[in-house]
Amino acid sequence: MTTINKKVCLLGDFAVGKTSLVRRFVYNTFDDKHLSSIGVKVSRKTMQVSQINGLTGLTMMLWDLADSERFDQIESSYIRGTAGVVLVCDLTQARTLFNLQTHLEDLQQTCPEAKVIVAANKADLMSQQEISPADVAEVAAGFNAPYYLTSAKSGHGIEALFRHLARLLVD
Amino acid sequence: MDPTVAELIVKEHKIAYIVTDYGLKVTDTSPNVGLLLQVNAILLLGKPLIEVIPELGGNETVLLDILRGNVPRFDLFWLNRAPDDQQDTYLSLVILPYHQGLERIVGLTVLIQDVTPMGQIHQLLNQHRDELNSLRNQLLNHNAELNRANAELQQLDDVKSTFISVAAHELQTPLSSIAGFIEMLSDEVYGSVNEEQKEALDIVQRSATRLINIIKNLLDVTRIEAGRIELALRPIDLHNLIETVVAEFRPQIESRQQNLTLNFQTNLPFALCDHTRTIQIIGNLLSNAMKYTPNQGVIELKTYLAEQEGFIRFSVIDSGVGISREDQKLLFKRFFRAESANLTGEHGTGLGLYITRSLVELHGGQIWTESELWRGSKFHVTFPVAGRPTSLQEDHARLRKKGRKHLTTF
Repeated sequence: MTTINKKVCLLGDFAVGKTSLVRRFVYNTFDDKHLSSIGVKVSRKTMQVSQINGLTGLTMMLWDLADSERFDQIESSYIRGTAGVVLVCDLTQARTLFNLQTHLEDLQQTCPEAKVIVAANKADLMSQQEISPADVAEVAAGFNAPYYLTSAKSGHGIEALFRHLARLLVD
Repeated sequence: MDPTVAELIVKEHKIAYIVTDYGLKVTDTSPNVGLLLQVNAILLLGKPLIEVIPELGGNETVLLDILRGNVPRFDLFWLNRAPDDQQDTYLSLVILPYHQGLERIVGLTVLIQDVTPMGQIHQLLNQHRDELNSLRNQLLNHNAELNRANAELQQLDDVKSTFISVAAHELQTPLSSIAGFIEMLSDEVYGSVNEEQKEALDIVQRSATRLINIIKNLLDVTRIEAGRIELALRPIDLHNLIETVVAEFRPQIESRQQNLTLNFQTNLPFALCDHTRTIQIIGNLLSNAMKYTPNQGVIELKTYLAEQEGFIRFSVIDSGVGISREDQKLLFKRFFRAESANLTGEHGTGLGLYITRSLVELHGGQIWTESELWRGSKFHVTFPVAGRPTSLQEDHARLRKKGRKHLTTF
């Protein structure tokens, strides 16, 4: 079985749950307390992706990037070489969905070929939701990207999200 | 540099290094590199740099540019190298060309510094920034909700105003007709009436007049709130206007045996006013003074140049029931009636002073009161002077010099 490495970045506004998504996916843990990230933290997760000619091993290098006030030289250094991107928004904060467009534009300045997937996180906070699945679907369709409703707290949708991205990366 | 000092700097500042060959494979490391990267340093030799520092992944082109001498350096900040269950540790990387001799680049030097203390401060700052941003977003959301609620309330208020306006208009016409016929009955246009009938007709007429006044006030309030009152401003001799209003009230003042004094400053410039609305302002204030001053009480109407340049002050001073300090704060609000006014038994809707204040402010003037319970009230109103400020200043100077006054007493 061949194994390939791919760099995957998580982009989105502050406090949408980028770090929590990685933690849930890689370490299967969750912490309710929000701690702001700075710089970058790289985690690895290896998956097997089935293809017509057999299984392919994919090691995702997950780059959890802190949201910076503006896209600058430093952030472009982090993003460079990205094969896939998870655009993360928070279902309880409408503006985080609308800001995905800016994050996508930042990404496309450096990595126009990167595969994109949208994670609408905090699906567990039903009563506080400001955006509907239909809103997310509309924005994701505008990016020509698939989307998943996720909850880092419960784990809902996370495996499916990364598995879908993995398929996009090996195809 | 003294090697001892260099060693001290590297140790104290937690700086490590990695040297690679031209193929980006590790050829040398400092002894402490294992500690900073949390790996066995010996095992790093011969490994690809990207494998040792995966955070450089994606920047291979920049690394090649450094090898070729096209780019002088490459920096990566705040690499969080902590295992998931441990406190964050931060590294910064500087990648420089590794020279052999003066010119020839044979590989890369990677300087790695542990910047955890600074990183933790930076993280705390970010944390506070994010918390502030969250609060700001919450405030923005609350503001948006309040604005929506406000718009709904405004809509309801508009519906209410329209209803009052329509209802008042519909009531006004038949009431005016009733008042007119009662007057004709009283004047014996349709035949003679005896004393008892006349007295009854007088009561009906007074009630009809009161109702008409209430309706007029309600219509004024709806106009004020809809911003539909337009003033026809023109220079007006305030003294003439005051005397006109006083003449209207004279019979009632005399019947109450009240002592009314007009204290006018001579050579007062004209005021820039709307004729009808100014009569209404003066009438409202004089009517209040008359209603809330006991029989044989004193009322004084005064005019003079206001302290504020470009304005004339008109004051109504009475020896009436006065207004408590608490009530004074609410006096110009809609539907508010002072406690002392209620005690007099005089009727009122609490709209007169609200309308008066609105009209005064529409003129660009101000209204305020000075009062003490049971010791009378002073209501002050300012009207803008018609004419240039320079002439007003001249008037001021002239009047101060002459100090003449014009006094009339009823």
